Formats: sequence, structure tokens, C-alpha cells
Amino acid sequence: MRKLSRRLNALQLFFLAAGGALAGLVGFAGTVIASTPVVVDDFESYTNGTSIAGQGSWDAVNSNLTVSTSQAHGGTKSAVCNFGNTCYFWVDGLNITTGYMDFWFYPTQWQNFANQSMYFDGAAFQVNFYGNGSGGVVLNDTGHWYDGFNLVMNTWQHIIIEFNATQYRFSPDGGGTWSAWANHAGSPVSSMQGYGNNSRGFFVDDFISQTITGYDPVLTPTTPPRNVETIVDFDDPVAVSGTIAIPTNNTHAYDNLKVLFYKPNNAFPAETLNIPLSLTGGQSYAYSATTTIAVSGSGNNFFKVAYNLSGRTYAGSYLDNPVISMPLLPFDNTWIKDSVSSAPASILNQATLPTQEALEDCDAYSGIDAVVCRFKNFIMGAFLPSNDALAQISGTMDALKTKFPINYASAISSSFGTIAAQVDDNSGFTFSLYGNSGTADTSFFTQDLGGGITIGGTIKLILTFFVFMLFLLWGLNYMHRVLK
Amino acid sequence: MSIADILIYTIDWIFQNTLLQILPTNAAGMSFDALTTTLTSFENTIIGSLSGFGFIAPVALILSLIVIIFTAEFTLFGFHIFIFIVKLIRG
Repeated sequence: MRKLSRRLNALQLFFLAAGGALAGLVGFAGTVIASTPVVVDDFESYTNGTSIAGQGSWDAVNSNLTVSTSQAHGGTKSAVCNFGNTCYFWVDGLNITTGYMDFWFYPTQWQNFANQSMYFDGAAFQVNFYGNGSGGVVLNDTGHWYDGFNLVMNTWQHIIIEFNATQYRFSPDGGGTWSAWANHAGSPVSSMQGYGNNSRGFFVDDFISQTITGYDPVLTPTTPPRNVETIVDFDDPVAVSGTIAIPTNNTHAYDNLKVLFYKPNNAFPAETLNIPLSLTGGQSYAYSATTTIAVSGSGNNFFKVAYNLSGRTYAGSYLDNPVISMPLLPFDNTWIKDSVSSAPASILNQATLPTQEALEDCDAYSGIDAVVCRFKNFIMGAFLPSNDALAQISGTMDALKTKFPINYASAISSSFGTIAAQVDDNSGFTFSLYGNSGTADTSFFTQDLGGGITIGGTIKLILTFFVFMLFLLWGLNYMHRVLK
Repeated sequence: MSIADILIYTIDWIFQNTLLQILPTNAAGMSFDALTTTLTSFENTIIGSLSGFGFIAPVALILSLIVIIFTAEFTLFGFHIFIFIVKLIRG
């Protein structure tokens, strides 16, 4: 989280400086809307497999929601609630009158009647992820049963819940579609609580929740700004540029710079922006760089335009510290700059070079010893690979790992490894029927018969013996096939 | 540039211009993303189910051995393909 905050701060400063400099030239008086982060968490700084309870802003009441690398909306980690577990993710000690909760949600399994609620204590309203009766899930609020926004299973979806002093609404697609405004109890939100039963599984990632002052989503019929630092007045032009430095000695460096702009569609039609990119450094190698322009929003909302600037050097192209650059983009006065929503410098694969024996310093010798030393260095140096060569072959091997069938085999192997690591031998036998769950009493098998001997343990021991025998048979057969 | 460098750059060039050019990222019929999504669902389903048998069966041990067998068989399969290609080239 600190990492994310540092990145956000640095980029916000950068763009504030850029916007500020230009604003100084044209002499604008900007309208400031302030926002205060409550929770900003991409789960990247936590250890894989640990519970989020007590980490970051999460309250210690959280349980079973653990950090996972199985899915990630951004980066490499998210938080997972595995099917069969009752998970909570709470943030207490709040005092928010106007604000929002913004996160990415990835449902994996949902039983009929299963529910995961997002409850806003104080204002006393809740938004639910509810089983739709056919294995899917809908987003709704209290009293709607199967009615609501259908979510897609096994897909990241951008959920936003926003509220002011008296009302709330929610969106299943990052602000493209909204529920109707509904009244709530009218008090400041004192805690945000996610909880539900154990008949659903999901991942969450890139969690942002902030308070907003100087902006009322009900009174101002626009998509609310996210991560707002400064909104420039509508008549003021905004300009921005960015560069991505790919660190030396890293293979498959990948970067992503995203900036949001807003434009009112009732005044201006949608348009496509072409952002030219250039690469300096490492010119002798191929590279890829793309821009993405996404336009969303309808009705009287603002169009949201985001661009991603990403680059990946060709395998092994770590030389010369290449920089992918985007020129100054003169957004005219029909655009409003919102925010930097993602940070650059995300390295996918850190190159790890093997340690090598260094050549001996021959200056300490003289005469025949120096000649022998230099000859030894000459012979040794001839067969000593350089770091550049090692990094290049390392990058190529990394690229090879992404090709079929190696990537498929790795994924399958990794999946079995994950299952083996997460199987809990002591969890007991849990079953579900029409949304009702129960756990079979297996105490008979675990009852101590004396001296630590149990029936279950004895059966397990016998099965272990047979499994090892089978493995030994397979091993002999395998060796036979290898040596054939 | 050392002899080792020349050897490495040669191997690298061969990989860059053969396997990396030939091999696809996605298999026909099931993309890599679809596979990982399926595997994730499979994991979420099977972990809860297998955990239920943990009190009488060495589930984690069996799965670990499956991973070992899978890796070894895949390696042997790759080796056989390599030998087949070599024989094909030699005629």
C-alpha cells in the first residue's frame, strides 16, 4: 500500500506540476475538490497466503480473506475468499458523509441464495452480491432478491458504491450503468463491512475508498471524479506528457501509465485520440508500445477517457535503459483532467543473474607470477559469460515460458501445487444443500485410542504406504522408459 | 566478447528465430486465459472438496506426487519430441 501511495503521490505531483505550469500561463482560477483516501489497497505489499486481518486499513475482525496470486486485476496479487469460507473485510472508525467505495470484483462460484453484503454502518444501507438462482450473481440492494445487475462469472468487474448525506447508488461497470438513487438512514458512514456466508467464492482487488468534499454526486449530475486532486475549470486547457523508463538489467519490463480525463458528452461528441509514442535507447531491439482509449458514460454524465501507455521491450532488450515517451498532449478546453489512476514502473520479471567467479587482480603480482595470472585470466575470461549475455538468454527463456505448451504445463502444474498447498487436512467434511451448509462429525476418526493412535490416522498411514508403493512403481517404470 | 558470450548469443539467436517464432501462445480450442480461468475455478471447487477427506487420506501428499509425476512425464514427452525432430531432420 505504501508503494502504491508513493507512486500515486509522485504521479499526482507530476501532473499537478504540469497542469499548474500551464494553468499559470493561461491564468485560470481552478475549482478545488478535495478527496481523502480511507482505503487504498492493491494487496501487492502483503505476503501471499496471509489474511488481510489487521493489515493496512483492514480491521482485525477480517477473517479468511487472504492474499492470493491466483488472480489479480492489477499487479500480481489480489485478495481471495475461497468457496466454503466465511469471509469478512471491514474498515472501522470512519466518519464519511460523502464518499465512495471503488473496487474490482471477480466472482468464481456462487450458490443459490448465497449473499455477500457490503454494509455501510451508520447510514445503514447495504449493497449485495446475491446468487441469482442459476449459478450466477447479481448486484442489488436490500429486498430485490434475483433482480439487479447481472455480473459475469470469472471476470473482473469494476464495482462502485457512492453516497452522500442522504442517498446512495451503485454501479457494476465502473460508472457506465448506475442504480437509481435510494435513501439511507442519513448519518455519516462509520464503518464499511463486507460479510456473507460460505457458499460463494470471489477475488477483490484495487480497493479505493475516499471521502469527497466540495462535491455532491446528487446535486451535480455527473460521474463523480475519482482520486481527485484538482479539477481544472472547464474553460482551462490541460496538457500532459509522460515517459516510462525501463530499468536496466531487467527483462520483460512492462509499464503502464494511465490518466483519466473527463468530457461532457452533452456538449461534445465522442472522439478517438491518437497518441504518438517514441522510444529512445535500446534502439537495436524491437519493442511494443500501445495506447488504449476507452470512452464510457452516457446520458448527462461525463465521458471518461483513459489512456494506457505501456511498453515491453523485446526479450533480452534490457540494454541502454530504454525510455518510451509520450509527447505533450494539448488537451483543449473541452477536457477536464481528473486523475492519475495507475502508476508506472511495474517490472514483471526481475532478471536474476548467476553469480560468477571474478577474474583475479594481477596487479599484486610481478614477473612470472603476473604473466601466469594474466594468462589464467585470459583463459578464464574467454569462457566467462558477460552479464549482458546472461540477461539476454534469461529474457529469451522467460519469453519461451509464455509459449504453448510450456505455459499450459506450468499453469496446470502450478494449479495442482496451489491445491496441494491449500488443502486443509483438518477442515472436516463440509456439504451444502440448497444453500444450507453443514459439517459432518468426524470425531470418530480422530478420537485418541491411546498412545496418540486414531482410526483416521491409521487409515491415513495405510493409504500413505500404498500411495508410496504406487509412486515407487511409477518411478521404476519411468526410469525404464528414460533408459530405454 | 568471450567464447561463452558467442555461444550464448548463438543459442539465443536460434531460440529467437525458431521456437519463439513458431510456438503459439494459445492452443487451438482453449486459450491460455480460458485455461487459467478454468483452473482457478477447478482449484476453488476441488480445494473445499478434498479438504473434507483430509482426516483419512493423505490428500496433500497425493497432490504433491501428482505434480512430480506430471512434471516428469511432461519433461520426458518434450525429450521424445526433441529426439523425433532430430530424427526427422536427419532423415
